[in-house]
Amino acid sequence: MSAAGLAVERPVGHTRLGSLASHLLLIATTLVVLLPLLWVLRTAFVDRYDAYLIPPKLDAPLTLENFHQIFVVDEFTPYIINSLIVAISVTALALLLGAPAAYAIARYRTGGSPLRIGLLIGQMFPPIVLVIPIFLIARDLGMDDTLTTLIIAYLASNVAFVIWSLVGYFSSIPKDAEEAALIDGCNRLQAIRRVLLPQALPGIFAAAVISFILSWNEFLFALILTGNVSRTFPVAIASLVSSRGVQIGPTCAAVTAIVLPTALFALLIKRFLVRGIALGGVKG
Amino acid sequence: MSTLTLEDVAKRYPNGVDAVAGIDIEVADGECLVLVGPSGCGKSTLLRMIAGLETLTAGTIRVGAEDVTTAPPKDRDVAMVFQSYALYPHMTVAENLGFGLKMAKVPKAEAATRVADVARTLGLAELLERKPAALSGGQRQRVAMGRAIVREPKLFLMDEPLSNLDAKLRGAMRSELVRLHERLGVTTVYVTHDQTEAMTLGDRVAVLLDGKLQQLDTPTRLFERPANVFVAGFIGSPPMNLVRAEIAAGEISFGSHRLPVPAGRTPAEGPVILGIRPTDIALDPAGMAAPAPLGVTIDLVERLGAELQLEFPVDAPRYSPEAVAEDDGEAQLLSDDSRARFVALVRAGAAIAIGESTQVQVDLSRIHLFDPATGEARRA
Ligand SMILES: Nc1ncnc2c1ncn2[C@@H]1O[C@H](COP(=O)(O)OP(=O)(O)O)[C@@H](O)[C@H]1O
Ligand SMILES: [Mg+2]
Repeated sequence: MSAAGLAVERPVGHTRLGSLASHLLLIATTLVVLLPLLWVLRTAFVDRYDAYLIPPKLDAPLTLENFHQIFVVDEFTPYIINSLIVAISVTALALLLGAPAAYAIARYRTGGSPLRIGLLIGQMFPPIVLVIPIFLIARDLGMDDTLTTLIIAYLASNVAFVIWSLVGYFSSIPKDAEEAALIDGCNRLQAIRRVLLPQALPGIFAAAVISFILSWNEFLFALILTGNVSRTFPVAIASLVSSRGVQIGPTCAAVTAIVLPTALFALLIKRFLVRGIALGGVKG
Repeated sequence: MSTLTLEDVAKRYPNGVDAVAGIDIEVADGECLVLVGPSGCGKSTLLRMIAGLETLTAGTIRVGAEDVTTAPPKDRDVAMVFQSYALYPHMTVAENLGFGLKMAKVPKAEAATRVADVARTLGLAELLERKPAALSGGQRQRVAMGRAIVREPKLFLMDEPLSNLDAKLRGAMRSELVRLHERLGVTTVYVTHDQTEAMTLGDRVAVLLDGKLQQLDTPTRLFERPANVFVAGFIGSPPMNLVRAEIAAGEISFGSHRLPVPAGRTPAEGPVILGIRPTDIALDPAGMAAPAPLGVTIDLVERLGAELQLEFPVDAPRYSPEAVAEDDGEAQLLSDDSRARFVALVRAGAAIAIGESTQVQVDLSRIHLFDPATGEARRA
């Protein structure tokens, strides 16, 4: 999102022609990235007949038929709710566990570099290596096809992610202001809540959004660990691609629905991070 | 207001650095004690231990009669001004000033009055609704001061509060601090690496080197009776002239120069370090208690207004304790060999022949002698 924003300012010394060329290149690249998404959006709103038409009919009438199909006929709503429950719980728990850990690592070097490297190594396994044992363990515990299993599995990677991003963020905030708060009458927790957290909010918010999106979009673990009860939205969408063919209209409607929160968050996070909180308490 | 007592205080960091070792200091009620020393000598560490931000490896800290050695910072009733100011970036100036009062649950109305009073005193009244990012360096500095003052604590702790201001502002704030301390009378521990600041602000000054207390005395006594060669070279500007010399047969000799041993003193014969303040050398013996001539060749004259700064080489090996070496890099660049260079501050007006051999007068009653092995001052 920032690439387009940066290109607006023309660097000194560039010719008009050069600027035109770079804009054309950017527009072309943007189209390559966006066209499939735009086409999905278009397909979601046309009827079954127009969706398959080649060459495509550009003035096809718009309809909500596909959304009716997935939400009312195919009853996707429970799967969406499952996805929401999982994504929100994982995000909340990951922050609850990860933020204090990140604070301890950033301020007290808890665990030293072994802990930091351990966190990173934990993230390097291919997911497929982890998902089979998790599935077997869950089945042995009688916890297969539950949201709890999925939440725990996601937490393992999301806590590590939250710790990693927040350690960096906390470390970038000078500790002087917290120490000033300690002297001004705070205990450690009050200093964190009243002085560190307000400064760290943009970073925490960004970590939360990314954690939410990671869980919301996740497919592999969900495919293997969930069944009829705990099925999540991405798995449900995949079921539209069946041996009897691809229901392209409803699939596109579902994809539109699943991308929506991500797109909204992307806009929000951009505004929030750009506005940020000006760090001016410590002279630079 | 309160006294502060440090007993045998020591700090060893986990990496093995002995930042502070065996410090005994007693700060009287209402006194301003300055901790001064070169960078890395443990000033900040000691101050942070008093504040409760660092644990002690050994020793006891008392505020008044109360032992606060292990008390958390919030229970010590101290206020601190950080070198970085450490303002709360997300709060306005008013909120920054009032934060300590809010934490102490001072009633809102009273807190507001106190914040307004302090803001007026420090000229911050117009800025109360601004965030720190929208303030100049000098304004941030005053907010940091105000945040400490408004709390009316038992103890002020200040860690190089002026070091990030430009020279002019620093001078102005220094006098403002003196007035402020006289008016409030709060016991203060003030850290600086700048000996001028130490001499102007301190009722007493503690000189630190490598975590150890070198001398604790009034500015005048530090200047006139330095306990060792480090203090002698560190305190005073321009620094004391120091040179390796030899005492024999009632004479102090360095290179080809000779000075008589001062009347009434009986220093041991043998090697010694001789110290002469630039202000104790003059062209005119009038006003000196015990003038003695020294034949030199002045090769540099700097006009400082009412005074002239003269420099001349002396024919003897240079002696530079750490601080002198650090502060006086420029003078060393000028000297073309390892010979010592002396600096003299004299009244302007006299005609000076540059490059010709001439005589200057040294006040023998004010020269300093130090043991070359230990660096300790020789009083005999
Ligand atoms: N957190 C720390 N861990 C290890 N060593 C430290 C730490 N803080 C300071 N030191 C060391 O302790 C010594 C004193 O430091 P400091 O008190 O900051 O000196 P000053 O304030 O006089 O410049 C220095 O050698 C410094 O490198
Ligand atoms: Mg320091």
